[in-house]
Amino acid sequence: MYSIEIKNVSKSYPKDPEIQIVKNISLSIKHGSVFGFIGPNGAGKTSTIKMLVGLSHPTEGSIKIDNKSPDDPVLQKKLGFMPESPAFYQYLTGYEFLEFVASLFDIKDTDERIEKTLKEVDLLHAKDKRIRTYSKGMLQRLGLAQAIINNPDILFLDEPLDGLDPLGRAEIKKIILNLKSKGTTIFINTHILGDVEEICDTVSIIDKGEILVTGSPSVLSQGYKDLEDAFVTMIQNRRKERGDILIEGH
Amino acid sequence: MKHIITIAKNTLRETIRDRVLLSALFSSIVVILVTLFIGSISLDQSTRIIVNFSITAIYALQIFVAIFIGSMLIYKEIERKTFYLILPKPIHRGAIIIGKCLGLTATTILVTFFSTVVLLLVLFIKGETSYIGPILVSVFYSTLESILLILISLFFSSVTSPIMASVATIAFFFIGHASSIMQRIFMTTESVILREGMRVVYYTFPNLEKFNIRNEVVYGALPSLTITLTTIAYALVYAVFLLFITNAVFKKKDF
Repeated sequence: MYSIEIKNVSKSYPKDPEIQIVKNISLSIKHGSVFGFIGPNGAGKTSTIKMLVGLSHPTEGSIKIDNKSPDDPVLQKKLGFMPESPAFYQYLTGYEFLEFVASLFDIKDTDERIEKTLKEVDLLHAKDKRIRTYSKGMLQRLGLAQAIINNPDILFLDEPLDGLDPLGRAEIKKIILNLKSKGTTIFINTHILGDVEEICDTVSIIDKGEILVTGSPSVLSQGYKDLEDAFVTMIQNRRKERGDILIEGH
Repeated sequence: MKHIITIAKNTLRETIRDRVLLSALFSSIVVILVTLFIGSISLDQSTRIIVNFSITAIYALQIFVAIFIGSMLIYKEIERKTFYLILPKPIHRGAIIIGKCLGLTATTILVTFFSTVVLLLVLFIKGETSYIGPILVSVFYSTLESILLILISLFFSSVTSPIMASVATIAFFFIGHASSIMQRIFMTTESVILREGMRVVYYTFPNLEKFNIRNEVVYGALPSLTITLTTIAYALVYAVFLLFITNAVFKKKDF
């Protein structure tokens, strides 16, 4: 059974309709699996995740999550989303922000749920501190907390490990693996390939809006040194086919 | 409804922290206090001068909040990307717009309350309590106008930058105040284009002069109940229309 089904989705913006940021992509992601969407900066990862969570709409094609449209409020109750470098209301405390989010989800046992979520992301000690005083790692964890406060069935994470030190990354990875063990379907955008191998069941490599390949990390790495080598080689080959200028040394 | 209140409360919490708002409130209160001295140098017009200057200061404060803070409201959320955390939640986009409008209206009412209390205290000290009723009605009228301006600035804030949104709302403000006079002037013109063009402007833009009873209040006059109810109905219809178009634009917006 598939949780997420993307069929022939393309995206271009009205200001520049000629340029397609996402080009005719199709994906089916199984329920309870962890999917990694990997690609260089500007590949179309964030544009795709934005369409998946209803922040933007496809120009062509369709997206179904649990057979519903991404902006269906019934579906949104079951979704979690952590954007890249999440931005918060700086004047609120971590607790107040989660209280705000909890009320949007109509969560009944607010206090209990907030405490539990803060504990899960190891932010309980900072719950009464203003968000403006949080470090980058704490902000990422708060971003994750607001995404999992509703115990989502499907979780979208946009570069959750970006800009974190090794310790911070290990903490976030631990949380993701914990959610995976609970059966949450997870969609991760990332370009940190070492973590992808560890966390994901399936990955797709995207470059310039096109999906180049989809498969399990181990299958994709076959014939290459590792996933990173596979990633770089595949992207270079595709760019060569397209006649793009290649990066020196690769 | 719960979601609308949540957004409204958060908007109120955000806007009352705005230093620009506090400065505007402070300036308005200073103007009201200064009128005490201006009033004292005029002979028997002292109270009228206090009332005239003060209700204009309160009105200016309301318009400032509606235009400048309103123009920033949606844009700021888009720019800072705080919307990325709200829009994917189970909340209708229309509820966000209504919540933002209610939050800023609450802010306007709050600052209006503080400056009006100062004015009433001044009048109370001077023993001029007969003006209190007309002042409250005038403040109510100008609050209705500011709600319409909040909705206009929210609409522009959701489609363009704060500067452009402010300019467009200011244009609405001036046209809204001038349209009834202009229509009267152009009604006598022989040019059909001018006459009909002015009629279009008159019926498209809100007639903000309907909310201006400041001159009458200075002379202690009050509008009739029928006029007040008609004005409330006019504001309500226009507010619903503005909410409708803002929601339609916001619903389709890509972030």
